[in-house]
Amino acid sequence: MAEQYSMDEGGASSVNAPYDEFEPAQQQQGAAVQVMVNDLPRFDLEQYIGNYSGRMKITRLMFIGNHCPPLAVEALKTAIAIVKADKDVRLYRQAVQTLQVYAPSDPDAKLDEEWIEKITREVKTKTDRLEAELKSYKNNMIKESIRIGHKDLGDHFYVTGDLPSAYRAYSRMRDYCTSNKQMLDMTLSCILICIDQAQYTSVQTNVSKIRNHIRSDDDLKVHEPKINVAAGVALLAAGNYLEAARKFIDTNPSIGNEYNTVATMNDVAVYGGLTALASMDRNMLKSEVLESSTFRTFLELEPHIRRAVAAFHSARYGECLSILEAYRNDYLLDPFLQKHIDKIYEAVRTKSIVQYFIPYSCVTLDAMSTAFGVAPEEMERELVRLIEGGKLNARIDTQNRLVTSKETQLRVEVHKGTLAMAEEYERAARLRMLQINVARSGLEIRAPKQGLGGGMGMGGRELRGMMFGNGA
Amino acid sequence: MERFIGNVLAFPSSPDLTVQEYNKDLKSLHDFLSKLSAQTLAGTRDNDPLELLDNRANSLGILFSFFARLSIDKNEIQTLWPKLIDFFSEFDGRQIKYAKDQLMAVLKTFLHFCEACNKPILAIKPLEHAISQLNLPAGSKMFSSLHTRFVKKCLDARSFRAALSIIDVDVEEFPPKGEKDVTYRDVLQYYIYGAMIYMAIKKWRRASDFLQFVLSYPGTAISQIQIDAFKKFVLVTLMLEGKNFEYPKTIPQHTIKGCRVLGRPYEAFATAYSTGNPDLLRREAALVKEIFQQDGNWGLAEQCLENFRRLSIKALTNTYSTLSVQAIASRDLDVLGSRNSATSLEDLERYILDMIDRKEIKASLSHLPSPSGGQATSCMVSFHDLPESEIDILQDLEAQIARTVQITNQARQLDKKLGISKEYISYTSKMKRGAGPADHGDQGYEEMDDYPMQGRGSIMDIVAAAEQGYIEGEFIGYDPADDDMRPDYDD
Repeated sequence: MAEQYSMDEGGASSVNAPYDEFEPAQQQQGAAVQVMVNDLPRFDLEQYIGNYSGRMKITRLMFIGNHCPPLAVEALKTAIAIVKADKDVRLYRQAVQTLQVYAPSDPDAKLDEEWIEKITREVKTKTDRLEAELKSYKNNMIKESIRIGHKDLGDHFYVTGDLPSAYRAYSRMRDYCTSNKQMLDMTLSCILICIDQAQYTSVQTNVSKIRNHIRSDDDLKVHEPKINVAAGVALLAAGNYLEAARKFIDTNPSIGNEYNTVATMNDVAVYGGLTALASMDRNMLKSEVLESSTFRTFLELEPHIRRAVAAFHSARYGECLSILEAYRNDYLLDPFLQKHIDKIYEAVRTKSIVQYFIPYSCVTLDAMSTAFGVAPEEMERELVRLIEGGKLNARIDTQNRLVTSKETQLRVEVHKGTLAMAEEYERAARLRMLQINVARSGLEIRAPKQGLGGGMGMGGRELRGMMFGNGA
Repeated sequence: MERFIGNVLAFPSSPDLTVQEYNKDLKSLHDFLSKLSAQTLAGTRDNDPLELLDNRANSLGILFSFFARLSIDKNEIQTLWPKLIDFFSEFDGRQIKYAKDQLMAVLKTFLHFCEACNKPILAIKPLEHAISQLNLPAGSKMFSSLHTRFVKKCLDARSFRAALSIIDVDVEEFPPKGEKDVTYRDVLQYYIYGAMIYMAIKKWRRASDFLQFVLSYPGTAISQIQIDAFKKFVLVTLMLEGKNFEYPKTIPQHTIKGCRVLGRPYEAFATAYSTGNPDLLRREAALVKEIFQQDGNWGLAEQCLENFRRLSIKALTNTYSTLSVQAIASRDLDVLGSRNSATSLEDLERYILDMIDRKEIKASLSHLPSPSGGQATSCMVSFHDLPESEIDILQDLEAQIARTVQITNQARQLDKKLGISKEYISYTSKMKRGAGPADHGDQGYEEMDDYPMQGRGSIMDIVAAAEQGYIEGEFIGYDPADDDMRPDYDD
C-alpha cells in the first residue's frame, strides 16, 4: 500500500504550531496498529455509506478500503466515483493508489491524468480569482464582503481538499462576523474541518468557543446536538470515555441526519453505548443510559447495543461480551472507534470480571471461565493481571482452582496508614531541622573553586592531608 | 614540677561544686598550666606525670603533659600510643573545656599515627569517647569534625557496629557560624559514610534517611558527594521498598537536575527493577554492571538483585493463595544466575522455607502425590494472610507519638534559637525601619513572638500536620496523648 490514508490525512501540513507535537504521535499510533478486518462486517456497504454526506462519506469509504480487503474494491470504486464528481485531486490520487493494490486491472485503478490536469488548472484559477476578489474587498473595507470573501475561499479550499488552508480561511472570518449566526456557522465549519483532520484538541477548543455564542433557545435546539456529538467524538478520541458517554447520551434525537457529515444517529447510539459500558457501573448504566429519555430513541436504532447494556446491567456479563464481540468487525471499520475498540472492550471485560466477583467470597476458576466463555488458563492469566494491577481484591488457589476474595482488615489498614504517614512526617521534620541547622551554621555548599572533582576519594585524601599538616 | 602535680591533683577542690565554681577553678588551673614550660609538663623519667595522674580525675593535667611531650618530640607517639588510647577513652570532657586546641592537636597526632601504621581500629574507641565528651553538654548531638573521622575510621576498620553508638544519635546542632573547624564537606562525608555503615549492617531505612539528608543539603551548588549519595539512594530505595525511587520533597531543584544527568544508569536500573520482569532486569543489570563497579556500587546492586526473588515471591502472596513450586520456578526469578540456569526445585523449596523461617512470608509447604502417581511428589505452597496483631500496631503508634512529641519540642527549641539569632533581629529591625520611623530599643525582642511564620513555618507545619495525622487516624478519643501532643505554641 503506497500511502496509508487514515483520519490523520492532512495533518502532515499542520495548521497551527500547537498541533505539531500532537500529530506525529497520532501517526505513529496509526502506523503501529495496522488493523485489518478480513471478515465481512454485518452492515451493507451501500446502505451504510448512504447515511453519510459530504466529506465523511469519502473518508469512511477510504477507511474501509484501507482496512477491510473484502470490501475494499467496492468501497474504493464508490469513493473514486464520488471524488471524481468533486475537485479533490489529492484524495483521488490516494484512492486510486489504494485501489491499485487490490485490483490493479480495474479500469478505475488508473490515474486519469487528463482529469487531474484539468481540475488542477480549474482549482488554480478559482483560487487566484477568489484571492483577488478578497483583496479588493479588503481594500474597500466592507466587513460583510470581506467575510464572504473568506467564506468563499474557505469553501473552495474545503471542496478541493486543502483542509489546512480552509481552516485558516474560516478562522479569519472571525474578525468580520457581525451576527451570532455567522459566528456559529463559522465555528461549526471549523469544528468540521478539525474532525476531518483528526485534530481533536482543537475540536474541543472550538466547542467551548461556540458555547459562548449560543444565545437563543432556537440556536440551542439547533446547534446543541451537533456540538454534543462533536465534543463526544473529541472526548472519545482523547480516551475520556465517561465524559464522552455523557455527551452522546445528552444528545437530542432531534439531530436526525442533520449532522451526518460527522456521525449518524446509529453512530451516536453505538459510541454512546460503548463508552458508557466502558466507563459506568451498573447503577449508572441504569439511571443514565437505560432510563435516559433522549438516548432511548438512539438505542432503538441499534437494538444490540441496548441488549448489551441491559445484559451488563442484569449481570449477564457473558452475554454482554458476546454481543460486543459479534460486532467487533463493524466497529473496527469505524474511523473514530478503531483505535479505541480494544481499550473499550478491555475495560468492559475488566469491569464485568470485577462486578461478577463482588457477591462471592469464593468462585471456582471453571465457573468463571464458563461465565466469560474463555479457557480456564486464559481466565487465570487475566485474573492474575487484574489482581496485580490492583483492580481485583482476590487471590487464586491454583491447587483447588479457586478464586477467593481477600479478607480486608480495615482497622489494621487505617492504623498502618496512620503509622506510615506519621513516620513520613517525622522524617521530613528531621530533615528540615537539619537543613535549618546547617543554614544557621553557615555550612551550605558554595560553588567550589576547583570544580566538581573530589567526592569521597578526595575526601579521604583531604582528611589525611589535614592530619599531616596540622599534627602537633 | 611538684607544684604542677600538686595543683592538678588539688582540682577540683571539693566534689560538690556548683557549675560556676567548677568552671572558675578550672579556668585558673588552665591558666596556670598554660604558663608552665614544656619541660616541666613533660616531667622526667622518675617523675612521670602520666604515671602519677589519673586519666579521668586529672584529665587536664594529663592532656597538657601529652601535649608537651609530643611537641618536644613528635616521635614519642611510638611509645605513648597505648597510653593515649587509654586517655582518650577515659578523659573527662568537663575539664578540657578551655583546652580544646590542645586536645585536637594531640588527637590529630594520634590519628596520624593510626593512619601511618594502618590500624584504624585503634582510633575507634578514643574517637567515640572524644566525640561524646568534646562538646558538653550537647555531646555527640553536636556535630564536630571528629564525627566524620570517626565514621571514616569505622569504615576503614570494617567495624560497623562500633559506629552505631555515635551515628544512631541524631545530630541536632552544628558548630556556630564562623568556626572554621567544620566544612560542609565534613558534614556530607559524615552522612554518606554513616549511610554506608548502615548499608553494611542492612539498616536500610536509616541509610536512606542519611542519604536523603545528603541530597537535601542546602546550598547554591551541588557536590560530588551528593551525586554519589544519589546513586546509593536509588539502590537503597530498591532494597527498602523494591520500588523506583522518588525524589525527597526537601531536595533542592538544582540538586535534582545534577542527579538526573549524572545518575542516569541508576535510574534505568531502578526502572527495570520495578517492572518486575526478570529478563528485562537481567539485561539492564548486564548493561550497567561496569558503571556500577566503577562507582563501587555493584555490591549493593547485587544485593538488590538477590532481593528481587524475595520480593517477587512476596508479591505472589498477594495474587495466589496456593501455588506449586514448579510454577514459581518457571517464573525464573533468580536474576543473579544467568537465564535458564534455573535453580532446582529442591533449592527453591529450601529458599521458600527459609523465607518462612524468617517470617518474611507466612506460608506452608505440602507435598502431594503427583497426579501421575509414582515416587515423584509435587510441592504446593499455601500462602496465608499475615495476621497483624492490633496490639503491636498500637504499640508502634504510641512509640511514634512519643517521637513526634519529642520532635515537636526540638522544633520549638530550634525556633527559639532562630528567634534570638542576630540575623533574625537585624531582619526584624530592618522590616520595622522599612515600615516606618523606628524607635529602636528592644523592638527585635518584642517582635520575637510574632516572627516565627518565617523560620518556624516549615517545621511547625510539618509537625502539626503529623499530629493531625494521628488525630484523624484513630486517636480522637485518646486523651493523654492528645494533651501531650498539642504543643503550646504561645510559650
